[in-house]
Amino acid sequence: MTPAARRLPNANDLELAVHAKLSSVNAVFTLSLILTQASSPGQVMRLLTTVVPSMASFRTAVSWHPSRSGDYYERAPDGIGDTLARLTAPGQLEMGGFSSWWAFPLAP
Amino acid sequence: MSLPAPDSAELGFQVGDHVCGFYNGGNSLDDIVVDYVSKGLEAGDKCVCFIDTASSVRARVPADLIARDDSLQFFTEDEAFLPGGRFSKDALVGGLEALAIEAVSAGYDRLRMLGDVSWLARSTVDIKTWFAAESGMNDLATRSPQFMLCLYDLDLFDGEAVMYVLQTHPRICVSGIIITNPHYIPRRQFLGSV
Repeated sequence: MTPAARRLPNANDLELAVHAKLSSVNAVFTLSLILTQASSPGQVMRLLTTVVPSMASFRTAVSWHPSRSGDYYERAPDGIGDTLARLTAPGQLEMGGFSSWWAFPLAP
Repeated sequence: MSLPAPDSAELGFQVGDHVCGFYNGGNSLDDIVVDYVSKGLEAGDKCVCFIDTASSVRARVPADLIARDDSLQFFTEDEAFLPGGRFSKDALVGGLEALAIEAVSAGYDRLRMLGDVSWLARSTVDIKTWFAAESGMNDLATRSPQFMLCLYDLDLFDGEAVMYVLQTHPRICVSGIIITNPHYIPRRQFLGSV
């Protein structure tokens, strides 16, 4: 077998990848059900930010609160509300000199 | 918040169920327990609760539903989960199975159990050790005619713990409806992941 052929994903690799994707989707879906029972936005933020390491290999998770900072989130950048309102498709946000933010609208 | 235990066949518990539910502190736990126990007693089930608020729950369960002295039993969380001051998965699973066998021997068709897991948040028991035991309870569920409802206070646990809860319970109670949990992981696979 050539080195190039060895790099081709086989059916088992694809199945594992699909399974991993499906597992992530299931996790998000199930968690969203639980969050419908949360008592406050603060509780939602705490649960969301502490669940991220269990769902994906991130080192840091940042979430924004519209007006204030807290233990689990940062204050949202000025003007972010207008920027997000204009968003119609997944895209990169450029704010305050930072361009490492990506946003994905959940509804058009 | 109220998390009623539904009683209709299409929405309710199935024998062998191991279900998780979530609540938000305060009186909402008592509301859930009273509803769950009342439905069980109406159905003629034996009900056993592992909670620290037995007196307030007992006072709200209609007395005419308690047909026999042993129909409704309470144990504190420490009595149930930390007998002798320590946690043992084998002791817990064995104790639950003994309760189910005892209920059948006493003439009940089913045993309806409920446990509040708030004790875990104030104990030194490793969270993975606990959820390995939760996962092991799924084997017990298939051997005995019982329902098990495990309740978690969202004020006490973080997102990581919530994900473990979801990985170890085949079904979830959400807003009073019991649904299949798509994020459940079979025991062997779960134990391999932790």
